[in-house]
Amino acid sequence: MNNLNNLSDKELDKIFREASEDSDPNVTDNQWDTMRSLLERESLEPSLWARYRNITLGLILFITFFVGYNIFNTSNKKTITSTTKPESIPNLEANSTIESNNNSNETNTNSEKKTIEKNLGTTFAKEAISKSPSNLQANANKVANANSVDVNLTSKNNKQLFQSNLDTDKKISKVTLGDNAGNVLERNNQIVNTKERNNTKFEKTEEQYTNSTENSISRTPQAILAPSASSIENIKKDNSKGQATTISKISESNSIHKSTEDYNTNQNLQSSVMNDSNKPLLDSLSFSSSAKSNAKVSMPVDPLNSFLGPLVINKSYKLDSVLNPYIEPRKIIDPVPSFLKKGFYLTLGYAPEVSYVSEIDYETPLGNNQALFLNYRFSKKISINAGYIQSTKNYSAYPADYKWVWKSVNTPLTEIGGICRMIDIPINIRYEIATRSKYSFFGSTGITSYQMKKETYNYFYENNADPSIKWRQWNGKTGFYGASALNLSSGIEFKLLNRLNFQIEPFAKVPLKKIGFGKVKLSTLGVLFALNYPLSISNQK
Amino acid sequence: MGICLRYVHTKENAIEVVHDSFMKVFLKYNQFNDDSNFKAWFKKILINSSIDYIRKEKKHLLNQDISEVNDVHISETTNSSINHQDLMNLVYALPPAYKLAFSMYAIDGFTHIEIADALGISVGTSKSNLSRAREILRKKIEKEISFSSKELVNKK
Repeated sequence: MNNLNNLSDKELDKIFREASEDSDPNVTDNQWDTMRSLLERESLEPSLWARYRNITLGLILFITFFVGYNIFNTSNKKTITSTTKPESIPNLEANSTIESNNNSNETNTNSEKKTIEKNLGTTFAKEAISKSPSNLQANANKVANANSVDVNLTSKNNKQLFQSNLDTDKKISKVTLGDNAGNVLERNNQIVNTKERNNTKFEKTEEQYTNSTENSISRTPQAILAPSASSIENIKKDNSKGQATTISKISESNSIHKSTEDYNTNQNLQSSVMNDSNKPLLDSLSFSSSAKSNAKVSMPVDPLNSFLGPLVINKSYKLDSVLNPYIEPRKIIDPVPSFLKKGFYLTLGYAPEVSYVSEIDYETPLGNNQALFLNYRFSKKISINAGYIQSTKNYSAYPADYKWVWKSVNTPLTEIGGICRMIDIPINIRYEIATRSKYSFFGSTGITSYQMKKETYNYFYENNADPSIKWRQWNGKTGFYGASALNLSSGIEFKLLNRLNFQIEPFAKVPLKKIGFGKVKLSTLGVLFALNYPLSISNQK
Repeated sequence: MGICLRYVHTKENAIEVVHDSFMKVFLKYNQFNDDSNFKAWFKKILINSSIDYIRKEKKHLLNQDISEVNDVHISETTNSSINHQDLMNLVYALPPAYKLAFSMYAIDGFTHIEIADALGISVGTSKSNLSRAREILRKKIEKEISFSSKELVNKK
């Protein structure tokens, strides 16, 4: 020992290794008591995860159902609202804006939606005003010679929609298109639906009528309207040549309906007037012109008291539908979310689970599942899927739940611990309870079959030290068990990326058959976290 | 207990590790092969439990200042030699990082790579710690031996 510094490292290590083997630090009674108390505490208190596992699973289930329920409720409310919405008052924001081009040669009669651009409308108004009043008057006079129009306008401001030149009170004005060139249009939020017709019979008294007719006129450039009409007044114009023109003015309603008769006939410009109860207040406005498209209409305006804005035309509404206020509401078709389109989907997922026979044992470790599903979606609502799940189930069973195949032993069997690796083959049908553009709440049910891969059972006795115990463990596999469990699940699927969805799906497997070496009725609770990838999506919605 | 004391710093911690090891023995007894040596199996469990404990308490155990290390005096012996328990007391008194490296490499036969993996340190750090541990142990043993020799001479 005196030559310690001369020792090599290996020799020094050897000395300490020997010392370690020989040394035996005394453990005092207090230290043993401490360890005993720790053991007792350990046996009394479940682990943190065991303590909160049920709460966690319950919380996940609750959140899933709560969110799903809310989605479902919201969906129902929307459906009710949609079906009770007056159909004759369309959502003009979406459908009823009209695009108007000055001197446009082409009118797309197939288009249901046109938008009147604000600048165009303004331009038109300015143009109309900029034309000298005398010009306008002259035009109006020419028209008035053939037509007399009584225009009753009632409007109410909608401040939200018409931000300028609006009166806040209802106003009723009469506009007479007659000999008085300076027709007065006291306008508020007025929207006039007109329709260009070929071969109109307007006499062309001015140059602007010679080669063109105005397709569509919208009174206000801000004619983007909300679908709630309250009052409508109308302009009725009697045409001495037997043609009547009705200019509908819809105020406060924010909606305009434009109806036209068949294009093949002499095209009449007609407008419909709707009120809150969807009743047309006036019939129609029609005027004729021999000119074809590109007609330019110059509205008789008193430049001091009136304002000309672009008219709004919606060609999508047929006359019949406008005249009949009680027409069956148009069905609003919700678009199919992109992640719910018809086609095949591949699902990869992982699911922690709790398996149990008679009751959940908190000390049993969680099982796990690695899942691969192939889904086929028939429609927005229904899909089926089949899966391949590699599953490891840990569970414990009491002797009463376990079929004991050997002779009884001297010491009673108290518990069986099972660790089973198996292939879970589920076939499920899934129904989308409520859907949104980016997520969906669904329920699913089906059956599952098990293919046992490896079964390990550990047997615990009252006296495990009994030397007569022969069966402490069994290993093996017992084969295939078809339709062994009923799958019940519900969950939420989110659109994660353009072609990738994520779903959280709490599930339960209710035993239908006894499985395994011990013939146990194995129940399972778990949560599947999965990614869905569309393999092929049909273009059909 | 001695094994745990080589890994953890205090007796209280060692008791916890021993307790954890017993729990593992009870829970995993079915994994024990009857043909193998129970003592070796249990020793392995103790070591692994100690390492697990160190990982959990890594900040406290590995960052301890060397100055905080208890100064262990070797018990006086009649023949001026050092008994095995005294040697182990020197090991217990090493700074935690040095103690771990020395215990795992010199006594329990881990490689530096295994030590690095287990403790989350580099191989170089493990080698350095081992070298310093040996250096400290040599100095302490020498000091204690000289101290004991002087005491003996004085008594005579």
